[in-house]
Amino acid sequence: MNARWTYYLVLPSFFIVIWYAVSKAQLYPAYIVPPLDMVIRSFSELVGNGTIFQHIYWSIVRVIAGFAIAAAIGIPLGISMGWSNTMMRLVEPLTNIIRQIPPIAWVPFAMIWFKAGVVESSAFIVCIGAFFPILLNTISGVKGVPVLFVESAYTLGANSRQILAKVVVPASMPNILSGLRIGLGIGWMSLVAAEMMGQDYGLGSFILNSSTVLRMDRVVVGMITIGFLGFLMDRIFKGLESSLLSWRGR
Amino acid sequence: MLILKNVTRTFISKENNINALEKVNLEVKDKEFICILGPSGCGKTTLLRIIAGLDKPTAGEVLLDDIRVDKPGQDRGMVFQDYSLFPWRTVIDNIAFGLEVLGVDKKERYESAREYLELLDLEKFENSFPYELSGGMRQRIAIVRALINNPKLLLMDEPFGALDAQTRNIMQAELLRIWEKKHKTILFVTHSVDEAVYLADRIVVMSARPGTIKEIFNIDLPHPRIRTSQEANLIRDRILKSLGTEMEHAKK
Repeated sequence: MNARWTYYLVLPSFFIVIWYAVSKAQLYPAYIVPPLDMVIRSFSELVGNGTIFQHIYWSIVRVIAGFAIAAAIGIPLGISMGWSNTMMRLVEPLTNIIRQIPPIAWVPFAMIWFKAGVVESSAFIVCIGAFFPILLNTISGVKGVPVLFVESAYTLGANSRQILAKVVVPASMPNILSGLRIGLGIGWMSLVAAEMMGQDYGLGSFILNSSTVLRMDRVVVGMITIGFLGFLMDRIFKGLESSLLSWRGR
Repeated sequence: MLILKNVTRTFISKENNINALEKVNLEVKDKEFICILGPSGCGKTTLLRIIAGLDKPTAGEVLLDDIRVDKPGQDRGMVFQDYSLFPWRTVIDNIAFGLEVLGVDKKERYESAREYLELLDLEKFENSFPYELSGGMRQRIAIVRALINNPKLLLMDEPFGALDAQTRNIMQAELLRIWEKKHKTILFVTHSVDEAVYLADRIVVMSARPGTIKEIFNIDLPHPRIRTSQEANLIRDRILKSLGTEMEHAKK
């Protein structure tokens, strides 16, 4: 264990100690501040009987589905909008209006349109949440490609199609990847809210269902799981980013 | 042979029109090394961009071997002042870019790129990324990247402008070495009189606003030239005088 890791652990350990102290002192009833040991107990119980994994499974399936669709539409659309002024004028006003609507506002329609689906309705909400960061970052990446690179490629004999594929896309890759990373984060957050519309499984439903029976310890387990999984996904993406973009140096 | 016929370029804006170039006429023989000198704002870069096909003349035309230039093409290579290597490509993939867009298969284009790396004595940087290289190395690679398509003409826009004086001298000698091996026609824009006298067969001095050719100097000294020789000093002196009146003119 080196010094860097010790720094990472300072604040989380501090937080746990405070939590433990507050629960031991019994300053608040368990439904206001669920005691640490109670949360640990219900966590190991949920892990033991496998329930938590079922919730995690459905949440992840939904987030991957929604995120994949958002990326599949957002990246090509963003590239074409950044590259062509006509596309920009055509699409930008509409996307800019829709962008202002929070993903949660789509919940009523998601329920009507995809009522039969366990995955579809929440994936739709995730898709809305993830789409705009991906789109906007891709556009700004393409717009930021230095003219020098494009002109160099022209003088080396490339045609427009080759310039798009071999210059514009790789040059805007840093922005595209950070758009994906932000999109995944926002998609994950919108998912949990979307799952509160009454599915049986999923971390959001788990939180909602636990709170209706006042099992606040379980609510905390759900919250921590969401936080950890989001953190983990972000880390994976960060690793992907630095390995794909090693050409930038440090 | 490159022929510039009455090349004129006017930049039109709401407030005023700027005559960047006015009736520039020049004939450049094959394998000639031409340096273009002039005060800033005299349209040297604009002229080079028009020959490259990156800009269009308002009037007049550029003919390369009797074919009118109107867009970029592989018969003209260009080296820019700023570092233009693609940062996401390794050295070898940068050099091979021109062949890649032509559809040459990987094995063949790598072989060709390796020849140029050998010429530069930079074989061991084949798989490096541009950020790992010094400024001088990057410009040398940019030069061979432009040469790999075997262009008739190499256009260079102050390629060593961003380098320190020491590296610059080394690069000039290196460029002459490449030029003697590959026998290209070179048009080289610079604002260093010293650089022009060291490199060129002919030096074109331009005047500013409107940009036009003021005087052409023939440099008949054999290579390698001694920068401090009496002949070089005399020519430098004449060019500086010619430029000096232009600088005065540009100030007013």
